[in-house]
Amino acid sequence: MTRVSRRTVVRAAVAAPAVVLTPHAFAQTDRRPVLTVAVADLPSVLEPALELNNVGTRVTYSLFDTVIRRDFLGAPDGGGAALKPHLAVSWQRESPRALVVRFRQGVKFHNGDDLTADDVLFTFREGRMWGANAQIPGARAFFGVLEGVDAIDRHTVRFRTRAPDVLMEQRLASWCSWIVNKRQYEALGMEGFGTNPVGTGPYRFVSMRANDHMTFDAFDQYWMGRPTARRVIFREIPELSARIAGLVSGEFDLITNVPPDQLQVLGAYADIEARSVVLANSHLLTFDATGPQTSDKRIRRALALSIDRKKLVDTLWLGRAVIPPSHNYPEYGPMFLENRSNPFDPERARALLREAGYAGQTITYRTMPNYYTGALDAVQIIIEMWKAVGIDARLQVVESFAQMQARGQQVGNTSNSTRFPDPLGALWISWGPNSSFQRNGWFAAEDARPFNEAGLALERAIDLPERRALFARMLDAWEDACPGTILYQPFETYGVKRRIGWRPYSFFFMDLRPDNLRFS
Amino acid sequence: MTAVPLETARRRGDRVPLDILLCLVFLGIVATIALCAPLLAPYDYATQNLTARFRPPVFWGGEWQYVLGTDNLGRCVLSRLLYGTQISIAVAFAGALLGAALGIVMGLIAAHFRGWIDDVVSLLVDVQAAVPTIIVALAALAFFGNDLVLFVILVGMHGWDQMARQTRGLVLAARAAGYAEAVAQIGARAPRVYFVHVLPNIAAALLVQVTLTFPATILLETSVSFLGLGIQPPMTSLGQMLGQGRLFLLNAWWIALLPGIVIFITTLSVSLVGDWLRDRFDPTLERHGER
Repeated sequence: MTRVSRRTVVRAAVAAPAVVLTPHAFAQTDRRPVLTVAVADLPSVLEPALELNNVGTRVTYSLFDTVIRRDFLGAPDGGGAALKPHLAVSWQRESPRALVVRFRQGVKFHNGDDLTADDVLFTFREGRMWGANAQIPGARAFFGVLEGVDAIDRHTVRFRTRAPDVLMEQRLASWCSWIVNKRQYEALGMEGFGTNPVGTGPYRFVSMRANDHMTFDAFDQYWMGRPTARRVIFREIPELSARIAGLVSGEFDLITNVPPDQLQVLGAYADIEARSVVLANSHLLTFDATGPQTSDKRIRRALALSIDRKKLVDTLWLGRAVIPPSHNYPEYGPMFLENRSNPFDPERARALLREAGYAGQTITYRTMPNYYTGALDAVQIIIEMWKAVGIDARLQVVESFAQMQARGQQVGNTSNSTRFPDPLGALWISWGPNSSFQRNGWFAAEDARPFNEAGLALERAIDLPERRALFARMLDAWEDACPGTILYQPFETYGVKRRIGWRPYSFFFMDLRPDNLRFS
Repeated sequence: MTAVPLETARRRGDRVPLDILLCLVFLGIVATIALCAPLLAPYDYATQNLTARFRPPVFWGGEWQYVLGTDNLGRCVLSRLLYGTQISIAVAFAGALLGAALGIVMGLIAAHFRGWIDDVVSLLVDVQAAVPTIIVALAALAFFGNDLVLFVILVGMHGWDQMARQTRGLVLAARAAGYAEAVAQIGARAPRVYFVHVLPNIAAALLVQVTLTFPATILLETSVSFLGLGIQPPMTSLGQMLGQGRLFLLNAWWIALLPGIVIFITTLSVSLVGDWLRDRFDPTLERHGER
């Protein structure tokens, strides 16, 4: 039997505090602050291509890297569109249908693996992204043009498309091009990976609880350098007043989804700053072609024509939101079409209603209260505008997209982002054959036919005048079928503690990389 | 509900105390508003003036055009308050009546049949008492969607258990008193015995029970609407106004505070009046000759 001497006990007693406190002491040496971000909503999983929405991309942007980086901060408004190296150090056109991309060496995943061509091939594999039965149908809208992805060597990959594609570089800098770790994904499957993601981003996943929080820790081997925050916590706080109160009290460092009404409130605190940006994202109304009344496109067009968007912008958004000329944005550059608009024409709306034989039947408008900033106010104003032309609309406030899109929906709301600066990166992704609107029949197949014909031709076209003409055809078809209508591009405001150096993008992405997050 | 000591009840005698009188006056005003809101309100509850959003009340530097100010859509807060009171009181009243009717019927059935039927009713009463109504209401509205009829039914579910328990006890006592038995002996059918003879005799006690349940019913309606279910915009109710106004507490406090005050004073008044009525009609006090 081992004897325990008095001396041993004394030594143990002396050593105990050191043993117990050493890990703590090490933790204390990391003086980087914790960043707590209060958001209105959190995604349910962290599979980056599965959560292609406002709330998903906001957080997955810290866990994963895109192949190429879009330089949002290259423009003063946070909407720069130039491309710069990121995981890819260079890329070169081999032919109109092939792009060769050379990847950075020495990039580590959060599990210690090196980034190699295998991970890239796994990310862009047919079964996940672009095949007929792809795991993630929404990804087809981005990479459905692919024919194959080949490894040339350990760090070089060739992307081949079925037809000449002038946008592949933009696609690789956009949503959905986040590289996932092959080993982790194969071990856990899509579902498991969604709750235990491994990427190459500046922060690594630690924990999540549905509808509550997500915690990420700094990934100190990040190839762009050590992240500036020790930990990032995204907390779901649906109530605006609770988010503001938490920011004021110091519980949160940064809050999202602050409507213009509250700018004055934030301005009253010396240590808080409102940082706003007009989003490359539009709020829209959707008109369900399977619903009563809204199955008639004349009624859908009347609904769109009777909305006074300027009034909405001037009142709800203090004049700072932007009304784009239809689903058509200046950032398209040479593809932008002049002389388009979102007309407000109550007389024409009344005439269309008469023509359609509308006799005051109730039209149900469903919306979630907190998902889109200002949605509940906007809907109540719009219902009054419709009333003025004789449309009887009734509001139903629902709790989820599933409830909103359940049978019986006539009018709902959504938002469309310009994922890359081209109609194929916006209108086509949001409303094309791979969109939920067409897959679910809300944008009826018959109505969508001319739109799809023009869009498919646009995917293959490389000549600019031809592309512009095809885009005009596409837009005409979309406006004529009117499965939805643009309201405005909101300006998103963040409430931020002044000591935090951080600039928002024109997307919901929150870039917390070392070059865009500083503490003073 | 605080118990009123016997001494207090004795002191009160037949005179209506001042606090109860004030409560009754306030409830009279609320009842008038509930009945005549469209006549009293300067604007419709949904009328918007988008150029006059967040106008303060007249006593806070606002204009007489909007006496109690405007909300986030430029709607007159006074008008919405009047309509909101009407809707909240109507929903709570309909719910309380529904709950009372259900409770009375269940109590009568239990007392009449006794045996296993009594056991089943008692079990249902215990289940209802054990499950918070607001949780059931929130779940049902979230699952089935917002619907005014469903909402009133759910509000009506609140408090039926207490009414059933009370009715059952009172009916059993009435039967023991003999008069019900005597009426039955001369050939009256059970419905006639209960609805013509027993119910009028126990009505006072049941009425007191309704007044005790009513404030909770108002609070249930306002709580559910506050949480975004129940009454849906642009329609208004006190709870919905409070829920919507809480978003603007820092820059337009009047949107939430005014309906909050109305809810507080209304429920307090009904509670105090109910308490007072209970003292007046308490059979134990009657036995002691304290009325």
